Amino acid sequence: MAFWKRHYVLTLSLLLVAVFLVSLFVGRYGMSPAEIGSLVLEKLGVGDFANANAAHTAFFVIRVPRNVGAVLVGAGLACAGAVFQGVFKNPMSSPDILGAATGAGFGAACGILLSLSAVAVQLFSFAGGLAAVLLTCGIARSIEGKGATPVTLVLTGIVVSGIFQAGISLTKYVADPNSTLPSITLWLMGTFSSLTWADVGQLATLLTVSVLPMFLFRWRLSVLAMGDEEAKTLGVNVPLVRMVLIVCATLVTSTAVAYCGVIGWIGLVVPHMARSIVGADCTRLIPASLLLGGSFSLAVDIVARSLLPIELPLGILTALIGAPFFLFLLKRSRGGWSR
Amino acid sequence: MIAVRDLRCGYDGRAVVENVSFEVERGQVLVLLGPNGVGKTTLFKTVLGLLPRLGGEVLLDGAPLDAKPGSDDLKRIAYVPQAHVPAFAFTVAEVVVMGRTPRIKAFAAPSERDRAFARKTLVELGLEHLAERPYTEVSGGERQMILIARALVQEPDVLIMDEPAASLDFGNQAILLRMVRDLSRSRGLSVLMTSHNPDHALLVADKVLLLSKGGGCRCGRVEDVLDDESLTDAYGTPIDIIEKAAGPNGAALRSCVLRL
Repeated sequence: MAFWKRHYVLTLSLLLVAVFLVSLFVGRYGMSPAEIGSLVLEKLGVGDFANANAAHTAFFVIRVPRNVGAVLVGAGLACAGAVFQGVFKNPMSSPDILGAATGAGFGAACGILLSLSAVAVQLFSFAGGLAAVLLTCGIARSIEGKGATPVTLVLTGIVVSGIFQAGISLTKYVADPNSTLPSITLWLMGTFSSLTWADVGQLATLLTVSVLPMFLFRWRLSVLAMGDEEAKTLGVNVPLVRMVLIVCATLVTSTAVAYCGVIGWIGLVVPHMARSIVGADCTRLIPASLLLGGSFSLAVDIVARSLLPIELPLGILTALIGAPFFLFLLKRSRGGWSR
Repeated sequence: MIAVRDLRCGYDGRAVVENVSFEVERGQVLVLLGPNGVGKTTLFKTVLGLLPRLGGEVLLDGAPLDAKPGSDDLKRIAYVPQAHVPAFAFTVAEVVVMGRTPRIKAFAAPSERDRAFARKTLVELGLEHLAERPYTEVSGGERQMILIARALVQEPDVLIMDEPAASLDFGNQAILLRMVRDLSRSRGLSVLMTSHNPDHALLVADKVLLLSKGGGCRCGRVEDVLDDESLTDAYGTPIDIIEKAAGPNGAALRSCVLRL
C-alpha cells in the first residue's frame, strides 16, 4: 500500500487544510492575501492595522463561517452516506434513501411558502425530514412486522420520497412566482452562503452528536455490511446497531437540509472516493469519509462562488462534479466496487 | 460439547422439525442429511439462536445456550454460512478478522493483536497469499475456506457449517472435507454440518442426523443410521450403498449410488 494510503488520516487532513486555506482567498469581496493576513493578525491581537470595516465583515462574518459550515456539512453528509451504504448493503444508497432529504425539503418549502422566519424554516425542515423517515419506518414495520428488512425499508423510502416530492411540487405550484417561488427553488438547490457563526455553532453541536455514534459503531457497521445473520452470530446486536445508525444518519441529513438546503451527491460519491483510498473496512472508511467529505464540499463551494460572476447553487455543482466522478470510479472498478 | 434435546423448530409457531435430539462431543463431526425443504436450515438457525425455539433446549457443555447479543456463548459457537458475495470489496484479511467481533467491545475496533491472529490463522490454513485480495474476487472454493478461517479466528468450541461443500467442484470438496475432519480432531471442535451429499457423511462423519420427508428423524453413528432403507426412505428415491475393499490399508470404501 502506498505511503499516503497507509497514512490516510494525515494525507486527508493535509488536503482539508489546503482546501480550507484556498477557500479563505476566494469570494465575492475581493481581498489580497496581504489584506487577509493583516485581518487575521489583527484578530489574533498581534498586528495593529486599521482595516476597513467592510473587509473585516466580509472575511470574519461571511467568509469564514461559510467555509467552516461547508466542511461540517460535507463531512456529516459523507459519513451518513457511508453508514447508509453499509446498513443497507447497497453501494447506491445515499443519505436521502429513507426520504429524509425530500421530507426536509418539503418542510422548508412549506415554511418559505408561509413566509416564516429563517429559524422557523429550519425547524420546519428538520421536522419534515424526521417525519418522512418515521413514516418510512412506520410503513415498513406495518408491512413486515418488527424486524423490517433493509429491502422493505428502501422500497418504502422510495414511496415516501415520491409523496413528499409531490408535496414540494405542490408548494412550488401555489407559491408566488415573484417572491416565495425563487426562495423555494434556491433552497432546493442548496447553498452555504447564508451561514452565520450562530448557525455554525448549532451545526457543529448537532453534527457532533449524530456523527459520534456512527464513529463509535464503525467496526459493527463493517460486520453488518456482510449480512444481518452473520453479524448476529458474531455477537452484534443487529436491531439496536441498525436503529442507532439509521437515526443518526437521518439526523445528519435533516440537519444539513435545514441549514443549507438540499445538497445531493456528496453522500453518494464521497464514500466511494474514500473506499477507493482506504478500502471497505469502516474503521478506516468512516474517518476517511469525514475528512474527504469536508474537503469535497468546500472545494465545490469554492467553485460555486468563483466560477461565474453570479454565485451558482450548490446542488447543481455537486451533481455536475459528482456524477462524472462517480462514473469515473465505476469505470475504474469495472462495475464492482473493488480496488 | 453441544447437545440438543427434544428441539422443536419452525416459523410463526408452526413446527417444521420436531423431536430432534443429538449431541456432538469435542473432536466429533455430525453431518445433517435430508431432502430439500425438510428443515435443515431451520434447525440450524434455531440452534444458532437466529430463530426462537418452539420447544426443547440447546445445551452448551450442559448449560442452556444463551444466544443474546453480547453473550459469552457466542464466542464459543462459530457459524460458517454459505459463502455469498458482499456488496463491498473487503479484503480477505478484513473478512477473517471479523471472527474476533464477539471479543471486541461494542465501540471498539480490532486491535493489532486481533489482526495478527487473523493473519496467523490464514497462514495455518495455507491461505496467506489471499490476505490482501478483495474477498469479492476470490473463487467460490477460496471464499468457503476464508469463512472457515474467520470461524477459527473466533476460537470456538463448536463449528456450525451450512452446506460448506455446496457449489464446490470434486477436488475442492475433498480439500474442504479433509480440512473439516482435521480441524475437528486437532482442535477438539464439535462440528455440525449440513450436506446434500450422503457421501460426505460416509467420508467425515462420526455421527449422522437424518431428517426424512415424512418428518422422521434418526440420529446415531454413521454405520447405524445410514443404510439402503433409511436413505431410500429419507429421500423418497431408491438409493444403494456400495462397498469396495480398495482403500489405503485395505479399508472399505463406501459410497451412495442413486438408482433411476
